[in-house]
Amino acid sequence: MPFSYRRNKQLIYTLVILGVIGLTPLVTHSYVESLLILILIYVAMTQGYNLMLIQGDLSFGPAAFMGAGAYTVALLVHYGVSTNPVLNSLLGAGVAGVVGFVLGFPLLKLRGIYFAIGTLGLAEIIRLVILSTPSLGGGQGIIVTTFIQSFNQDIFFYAIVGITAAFTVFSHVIFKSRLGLALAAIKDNIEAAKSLGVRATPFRLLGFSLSGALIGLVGAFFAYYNGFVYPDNVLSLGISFTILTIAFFGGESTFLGPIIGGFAVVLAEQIAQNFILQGYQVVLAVLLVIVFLVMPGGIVGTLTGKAPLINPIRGLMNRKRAGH
Amino acid sequence: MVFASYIVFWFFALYGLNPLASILLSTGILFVIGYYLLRFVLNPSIEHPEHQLTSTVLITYGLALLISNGETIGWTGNYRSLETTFSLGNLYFGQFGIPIVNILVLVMAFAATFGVYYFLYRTDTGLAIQACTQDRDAARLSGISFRKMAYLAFGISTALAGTAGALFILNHVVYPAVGLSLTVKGLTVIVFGGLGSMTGALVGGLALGVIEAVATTVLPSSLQDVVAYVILLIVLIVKPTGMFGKKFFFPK
Repeated sequence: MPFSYRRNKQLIYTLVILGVIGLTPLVTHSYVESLLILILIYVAMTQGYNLMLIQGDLSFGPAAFMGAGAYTVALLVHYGVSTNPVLNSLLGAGVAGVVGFVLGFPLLKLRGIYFAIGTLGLAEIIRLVILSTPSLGGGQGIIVTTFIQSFNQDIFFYAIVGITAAFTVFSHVIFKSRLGLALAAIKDNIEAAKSLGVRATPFRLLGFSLSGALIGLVGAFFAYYNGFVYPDNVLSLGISFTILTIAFFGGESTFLGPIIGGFAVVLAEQIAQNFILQGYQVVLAVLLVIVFLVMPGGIVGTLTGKAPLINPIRGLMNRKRAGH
Repeated sequence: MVFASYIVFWFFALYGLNPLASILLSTGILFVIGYYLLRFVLNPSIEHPEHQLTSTVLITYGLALLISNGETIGWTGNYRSLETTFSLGNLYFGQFGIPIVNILVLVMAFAATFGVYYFLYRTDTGLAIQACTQDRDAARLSGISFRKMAYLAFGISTALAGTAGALFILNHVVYPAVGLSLTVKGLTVIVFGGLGSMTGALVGGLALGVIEAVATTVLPSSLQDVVAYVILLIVLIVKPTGMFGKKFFFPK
């Protein structure tokens, strides 16, 4: 089927933006580049997370997958099993996917709020168990590499740009494929989907594991880029929450959303961190609350007109008059 | 709930108000906060069902973060605790000594539970609230304002959180992050006992307390919170309706 430019607008925009970003190393280095790398890490993870949202499952645990990927890499290097970065990263993604598959089995019997709580519980259990197990690094973490970052930063930069672009294309392909259609159907009305022969649980399981594998790959990347992993920098609830905020602020289940949301949220976080020393995550919370009060479709959703703004004041006044 | 603990703390520290009296204060303040919170802030989440699940969960989570980070900014992350005349006394039953504070907390907790039970089952307003949960439209047809009942119910739940917060600080140190693990434990208790059942909440709370107490002696300290999470997961997977849960609360 020919590639229609009009219908795939968002994908084009996203890739163009990524292309522009990809030119950065020609212009500047160090600080701006590292900021962009951070942003893109989150963007990539959110792209992976979007897959979950396409199937309508709210998960509070994406950090668990990041941690799975990161720790797999860390352990492989630490115990000297393998030092090839590409292989390790793929293995990291694989392990994360398997984790998603295994954990998904019991969890996906649940729906809605119960599923969300379940993912929260599992993510925290994983974090706490790793925290308490010295052989997995415990609270100290594991050092992955002693590369001096600034030498190789360009390589990392191109790698993450590539990963993000690949994820975006990948989500797009999935979205238009039969899997994507099935997931969207499940999200809309699970009973109708089932009655048409779409078996919900296997598809959701697949979506969940795939999403996990994608996030895990980014986790593996992070392990190499950052040099060391410990529970707070790859498994924390704060990371999950940031991903969530980006996903919803940018626009859930959209392609452009993660990039726009990623920039907005990460930049906001960095700025807030400069002004407010402790408790700067307030900014995330504020953004999230704004989304649901005023812009349920996120930035992209509102701009494409799919989810109009809710006017809270009019809502108040209507309620007083209508009175139900 | 942690906010309530802070209210009690500051009233004590700044004005020397006896914590027992401030239990009523914090309960009252939090009722008002809850009522108007639902009315002005969370209302959209009731009214827009296509985003209902994610929006409610995320808004409340966002608010929780907002409050706890606000506390960190405003009141710093230092640990706070109370020291009063009665906090160190014990009551002795033969060989066993139980701190007076704990008994007080137990009594108050039971009192609060009975209060809510009485309200829900023996007063007209309470029955009206139950009617709203069972069948929203039938209730409205019978002349009950769903909107007002929702505000009221939410207000009561935050008020109880206020009571809990006041009781909590009698016995524990308080700092902004303490909310997360407590929230999870609260969730665990509810899921374990079953949504919509007061007996369940009571039994669940006691059960969790006992299990946790046992676990602390067996497990290393960093795994403490895991107990609550694990129980939560087990319940969710094996019997999501909990022990006494009413069926109509469970989404398919």
